[in-house]
Amino acid sequence: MRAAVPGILLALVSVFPPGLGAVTDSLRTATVIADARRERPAPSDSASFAELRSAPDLAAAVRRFCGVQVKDYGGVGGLKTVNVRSLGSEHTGVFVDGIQVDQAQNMQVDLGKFDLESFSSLALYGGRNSGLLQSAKEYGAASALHLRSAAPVFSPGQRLRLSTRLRTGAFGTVAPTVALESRAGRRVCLRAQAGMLTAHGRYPFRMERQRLLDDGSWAGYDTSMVRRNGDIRVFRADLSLYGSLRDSNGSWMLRGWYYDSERGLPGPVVRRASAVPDSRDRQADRNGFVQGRWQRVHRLFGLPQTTRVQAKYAADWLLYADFPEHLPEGEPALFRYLSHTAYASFADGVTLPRGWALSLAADGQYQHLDASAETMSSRPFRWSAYAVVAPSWTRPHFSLSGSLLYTAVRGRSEGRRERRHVLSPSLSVNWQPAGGPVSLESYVRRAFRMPSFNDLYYTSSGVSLQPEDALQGAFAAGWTRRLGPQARLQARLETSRILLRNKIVAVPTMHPLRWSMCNIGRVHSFETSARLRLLLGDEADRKGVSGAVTGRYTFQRARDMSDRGLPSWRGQIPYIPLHSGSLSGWLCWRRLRADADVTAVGERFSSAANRPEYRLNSYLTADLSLSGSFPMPARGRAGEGGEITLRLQLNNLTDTQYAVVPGYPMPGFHALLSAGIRF
Amino acid sequence: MRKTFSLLVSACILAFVPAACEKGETTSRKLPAGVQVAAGDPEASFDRLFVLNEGLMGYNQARLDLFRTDNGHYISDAFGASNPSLALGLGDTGNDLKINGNTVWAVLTGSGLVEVADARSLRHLAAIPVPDPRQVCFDASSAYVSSYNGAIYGGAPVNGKVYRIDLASRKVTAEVEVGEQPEGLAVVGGKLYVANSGGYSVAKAKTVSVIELEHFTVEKTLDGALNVRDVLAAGNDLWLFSQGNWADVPSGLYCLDTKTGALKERSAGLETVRASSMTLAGTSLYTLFAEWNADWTACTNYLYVYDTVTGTAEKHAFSGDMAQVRTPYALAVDAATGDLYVGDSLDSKLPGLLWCFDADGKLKWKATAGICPGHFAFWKE
Repeated sequence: MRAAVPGILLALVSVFPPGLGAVTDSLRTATVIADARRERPAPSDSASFAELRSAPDLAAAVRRFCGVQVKDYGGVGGLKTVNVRSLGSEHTGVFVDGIQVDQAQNMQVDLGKFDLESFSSLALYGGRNSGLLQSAKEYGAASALHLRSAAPVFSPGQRLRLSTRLRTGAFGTVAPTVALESRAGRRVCLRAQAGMLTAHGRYPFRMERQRLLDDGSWAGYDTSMVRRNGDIRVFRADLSLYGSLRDSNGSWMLRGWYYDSERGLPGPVVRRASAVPDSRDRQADRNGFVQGRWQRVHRLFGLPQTTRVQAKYAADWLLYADFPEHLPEGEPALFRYLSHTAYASFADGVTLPRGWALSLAADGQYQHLDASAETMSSRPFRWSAYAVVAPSWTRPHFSLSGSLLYTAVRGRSEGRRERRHVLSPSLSVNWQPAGGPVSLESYVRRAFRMPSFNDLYYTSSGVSLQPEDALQGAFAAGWTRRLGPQARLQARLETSRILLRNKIVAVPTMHPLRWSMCNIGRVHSFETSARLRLLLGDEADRKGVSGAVTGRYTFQRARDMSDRGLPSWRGQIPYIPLHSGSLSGWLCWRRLRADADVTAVGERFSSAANRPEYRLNSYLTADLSLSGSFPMPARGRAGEGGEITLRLQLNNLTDTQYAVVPGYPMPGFHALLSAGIRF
Repeated sequence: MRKTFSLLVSACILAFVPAACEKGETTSRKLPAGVQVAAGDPEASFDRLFVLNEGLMGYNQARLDLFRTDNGHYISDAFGASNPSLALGLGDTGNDLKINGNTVWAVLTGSGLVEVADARSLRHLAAIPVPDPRQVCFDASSAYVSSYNGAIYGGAPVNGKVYRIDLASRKVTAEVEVGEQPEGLAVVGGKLYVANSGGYSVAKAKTVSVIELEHFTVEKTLDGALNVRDVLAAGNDLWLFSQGNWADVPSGLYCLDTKTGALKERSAGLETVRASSMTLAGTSLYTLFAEWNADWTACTNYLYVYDTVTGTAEKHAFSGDMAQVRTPYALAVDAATGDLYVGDSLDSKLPGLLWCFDADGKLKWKATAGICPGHFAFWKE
């Protein structure tokens, strides 16, 4: 989409935690890269700026990663949540520029809400994030998906950059975006972006089932249908300000984000009388946040240290309209949810003599939910406090770090109270034998997730719930090798063991709308993933050829160990494939670029009772994206020529008919074309 | 290239499908053998026990299983296996199962269909569209299906309906409006009695609509019991299984005298009976009930047996072999032998279990059923 030179720099900066944050000139960028390269451990998986831009959407970019399942209900407006290492999506923290997107009601973050365009990199941390400076909350999440933006980089003399883009094609998609990047002062720059998306969301799909009969023959059905009521309208606005402090020893950032959408919920595909219309249910969302970060490198008592302060306020409004299916003229039942989240974090990292360093962080958060419907209303709230102390010891090729996080929670709803304390320790070791091409790392930690408001207050027994507990242990090895001046090979192997205890499970009672929530679930999982990446040439070199190929494979065995007496005993938990993998790559020649991605997911089960009738077929999808950027004649002053970019995205090339969630078919082959102009 | 290939493949499949459909509709597929779970008993009081697994709402998981007494085999998803070319199988959210002569009637609430299948081969005979169907009953010429008529939880109050289906043509011939969320229905003394549950309202309903069958109109509305789910006719009595209001009014059984149109006085024994499902065998009513502790973290399962002649009730905790049952969800009793068939829904997401106990509570056999095995029907050829 945009020039590759700043792209790769930004990518490098932002793959790593925002160490020194905002950068407004290339000199500073270089410094940060140098710093960042020393940071260990590396994320479990990551996607650079260029890789991000070629993905159809954020969910598609994430699902290439090792050990990740994206639960996708299909279509433009279908809910997309991310689940790492079969722990459940509640255990995956989604962080935007280092601050968690928190959803107290059900702890699911819809990746579909975020626009790929407003981020410059993605990083997934399966274990503990690295970095001296982290908010306390980050230590608690079992895995973390970081969406990062970076400050715009300008060429000398440039003050303002405008870009606009229109994407159109399948599902009646029309998505215009405009963005403005400007140097607002000597030390401040901003990016403003606004976009819309409308789509009718209809797509054809096939439902097929073949049965093996007793006489050895096969019989079945294969029926074609059209997914309806999947229309969506989205408006997004995003404003970021990046600044550096006067003495260049620090930076700040302020971001405002707003999302407004209205969509149809197509519902599951079930057998229906032909007279019954499709679902008419609707959902409207309004989400917004304002968040800021300030950080500074300084000396206190002669010790160099970095201090970071972060704060956020978020409001999320959801309206769900349940239309009576069998009463076309009937009024819908309306369910409204409004939640507020206020969050503040203070973190300080001190560099001590002899390789020692100490990080201290404290966070506070307040969440409030106002749920109203004609049949019930409740207003739960929760105060959370997090405090962490994390010492580390670094030698040239070796580092050891530990952390101890204390979390306290107080909450209340309709006379029910919750009070909880959790201690979660972690220990990690990194070693690069003799500073060679091999790096080894290992960690053990305890992560947890609090029960959601849904678990606690919309059930019968929630208040006695304990947090879900995940004990993780992992070992990873990385290897990098130069294969001549133009090629590099990177390999990474990671294996982990997770014991999930006190898993929150809903048990039905006689009351049709009341579930008893119990900490009875137990999952033992073992995962091994391998990643091999070959990088060729230099993407920044506009005359030559450059490219990369990444192959990923994950083996995941996640067994339900809850109860010997149940048919689920030792069964693979729902939706987790034993084998999955992806092969993605790009090739760049002059101003033309091709990206291809093949993702394969092995067979899964929709029930932990792994009987054949709950088997979900394996599938393979392939996406291809072709793009070219063409310079426009320079306008007067040198170096200010614009650029026109065209991109053709061909998704699901093989027209694979599959579903991630049974009853929610995914679209087959579809193509999108986008054209952008930037000057 | 791949695209062309897959198009070719799908074209081939599509070309083959109409043939398959035709074949499926003209000739029945033989029922699969299933798995042997018990010894064959050709002398049994019934030939087949049909089990309707409700499935989770919206998952299209309703399955019709059957147990054959002649060889003791249990056939999971027997309907699906018999009708492999019927697109999307039996459908979504099974809510009732009844036998009429040699046909099986399954009510599929989520699909808005009443499926009629041949009891011998389980071959699909008809799928009758009925909006929001709940339960079915029969007289000599018609089937009657109660319907929520589009009411939704949390929505505006909407009166339900009863649909009349002609048994010969298997078409809806009449409909009549009744009270809110009608559930169980039965024909007693030439009149159709429908219990209105009002289950979607906080107050719940406690009326029974009486429909005279000649003009298919509501003749009168009687006072019944609160939030009734199932009804059972025994002579001139109509037994009502009331679910209470989930708050201060407990569940229980009530007897409506259709002669007088009033509830009978409950005996001291009947007052003690609690229920989450009800069945009748001979002159005894059987109910299942789970008693939860105060903080809803554990429960004890009970079986109540109420003798309608003596008016006495017995309460048996699930003990001995029966203690293995986790979540008793539905019950059928073989009146001839006293054998108990208990549908165990476990956590209602896993495939449930079907337990068969003898009259003394000793385990005879068990089988893996589908999700939420909730309705049973005995059939004798």
